[in-house]
Amino acid sequence: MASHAIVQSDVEFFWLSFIAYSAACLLYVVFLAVGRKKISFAATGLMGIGLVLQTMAIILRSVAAHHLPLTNMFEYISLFAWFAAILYFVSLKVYRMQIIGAFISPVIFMLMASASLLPKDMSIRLMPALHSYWLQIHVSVAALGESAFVVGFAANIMYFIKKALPQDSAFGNRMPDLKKLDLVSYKAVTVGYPLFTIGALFAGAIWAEQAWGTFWSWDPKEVGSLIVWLVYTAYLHARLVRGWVGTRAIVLSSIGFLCTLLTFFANLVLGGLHAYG
Amino acid sequence: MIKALKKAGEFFGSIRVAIILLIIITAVSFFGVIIPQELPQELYIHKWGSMAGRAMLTAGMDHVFSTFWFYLLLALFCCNILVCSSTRLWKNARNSVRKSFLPGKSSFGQFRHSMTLSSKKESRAAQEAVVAYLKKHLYSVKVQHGEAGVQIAARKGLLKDTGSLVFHISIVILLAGGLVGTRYGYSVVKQLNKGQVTAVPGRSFLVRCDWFKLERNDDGSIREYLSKLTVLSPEGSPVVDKIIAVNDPLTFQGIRFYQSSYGQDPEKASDVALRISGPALPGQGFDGTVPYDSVFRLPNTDITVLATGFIPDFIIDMETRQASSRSEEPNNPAVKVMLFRGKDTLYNHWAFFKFPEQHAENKAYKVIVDSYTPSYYTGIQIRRNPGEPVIWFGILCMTLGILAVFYISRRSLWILIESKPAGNSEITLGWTSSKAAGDSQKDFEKTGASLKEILR
Repeated sequence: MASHAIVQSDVEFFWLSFIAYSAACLLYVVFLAVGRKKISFAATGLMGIGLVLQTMAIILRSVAAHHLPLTNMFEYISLFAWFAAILYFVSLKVYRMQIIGAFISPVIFMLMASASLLPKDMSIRLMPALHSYWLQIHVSVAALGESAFVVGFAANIMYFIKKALPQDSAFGNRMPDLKKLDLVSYKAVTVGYPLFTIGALFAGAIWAEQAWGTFWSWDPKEVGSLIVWLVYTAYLHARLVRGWVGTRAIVLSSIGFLCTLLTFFANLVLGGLHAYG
Repeated sequence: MIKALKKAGEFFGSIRVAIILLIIITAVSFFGVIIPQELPQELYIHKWGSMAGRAMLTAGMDHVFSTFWFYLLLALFCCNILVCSSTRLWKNARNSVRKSFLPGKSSFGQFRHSMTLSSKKESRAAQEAVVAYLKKHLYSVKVQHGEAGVQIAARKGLLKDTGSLVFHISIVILLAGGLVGTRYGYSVVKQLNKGQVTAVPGRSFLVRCDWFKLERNDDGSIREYLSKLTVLSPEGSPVVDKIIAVNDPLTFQGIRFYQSSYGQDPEKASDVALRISGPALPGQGFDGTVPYDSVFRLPNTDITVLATGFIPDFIIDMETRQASSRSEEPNNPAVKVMLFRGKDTLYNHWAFFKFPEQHAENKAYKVIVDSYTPSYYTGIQIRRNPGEPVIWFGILCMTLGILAVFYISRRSLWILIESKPAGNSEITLGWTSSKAAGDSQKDFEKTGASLKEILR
């Protein structure tokens, strides 16, 4: 009964954090329209509250389940949103651009909304293949890498919007300049790419070797991750060696992010060895 | 001719070709995901129609990742990486380690980031102060005395370019490891019952399954499945044993044994719970579990029992009196129970788990079967992958390489210190960095400010 009570409260904290993130998202939209600094401060504050509440939810769930909550799509997507929120605050510390929140918070909102629709049952009993510490390493490092791609994508969206707006529009002036957005987008990829390579591809391959007896089996999710890696690899080469900056580079990295999203949900549609929940 | 070859090689090792190859491999992989792989050929024809289906099969779209043209594509990609590594990346790595001095003061004009400071210190003291500062900040420093003055070449983050070289070559290592594994390795799955021994392909030793166990959670879901394996020498003596589970294989002489699956043998049971009574049986009778297919002596008697011939879906041919199974489903499970005393058969009847009272007694004995434990076999994947050490090496190289490329930034600083007639000196700085322009400028300004401070 005691563990049941904790389960309840972890989902409650999830809903509370979802509400805080949604409110933050709403305030950011208002900020984009009105441009008052105070509103963006309030929105960032709400994001922070959401992050704290979600951290509570994750801790409670870990305690109740006796393992990190990484074992079904609800847990994975909320973790993804949690990392994205953390990376927003990291980028805030580095770039001091609260406005990035206006573009990350909708992504977090969408992630939390899709997580909220999924079954939230806790699996205390894992299937035998998941009995491995590689579960923690593989899933959390991959999710951290993918959340960095989310931050990059938020910068890409801002880039496209700023580019489409007429010069000297009040709205456009509220946004950072194109060069800076391009740089944020690139930086996010340089943070995400090594994490994704090590977490999704290598840790996954090592674990697969232990559990399934093969490093690589061309499972749909494996190929999906390979595609993500190939696209971002092309992006990095185009940028670093051939000097792609601006729109061309932003388009390529956005394709990378769309592949990430497709791969992220691929196991729900295509099945394969990653169809665990 | 040689010139043309050289030009072709240059083109082949170019980034342009690399990006084109990346795009093609991405597109092929994409098709490999949306077209289900390794299905029976008829299904492709059924789904995409005769024309398109046949075309797809001819192109090998049903097994994209093992077609010769996919291998060719990967081979081209490897060649591109190797050409690129042996030219551009090698040059970068070598140059980053070498410390070169600039030909003269005019060369400082070429830097995007440069500045000139003046110091009240004389040249010698200024040099010492600058070198001490740079060493403290982990730069590798080289000094040259020339006509124009003292030149200092300082660098930091030298491993970045080496990391990039290692990273690229490790892709080739990984693919080579994969190829060795597919070409020279094998993987077979064997279904073993308790006590069964199997040969290992390409090796003289044998492996025996001592037991298989399913562990369940309290809700009935499976928590773990385990097999105890014993490696036997060709003569049959045990060499090593281990209880293997999913995620915990046994490795012996380059062969790895994985717990890969399990299943139920429909024609067998592993034990039978039954009750034996009757006037001829002394005492209370027997109530307990007996092993399947092996003779068991009832306690405190001279009577032995044998439960054998398990049939999952019992049917009997009335003419021939031959019992057989209608299916593999346990719809009407039955087992033959026999009682013996010495050579005499005391009892010999089919017993039905769903109808325990049917045909259950003769004059002297009554046998009621209560339940049986299904017989599970274990699925052991036996694998040899001679590419494994190569793959581990590749993963290690690529991890180190990627960390070096992304988390080390290379900074090069050139400093010229000129003596001025008044006993003071003038210092010119030139700076390059692998960081993005804005960050590079910030770093340079910070370093410049520190140097200005110590040269005051």
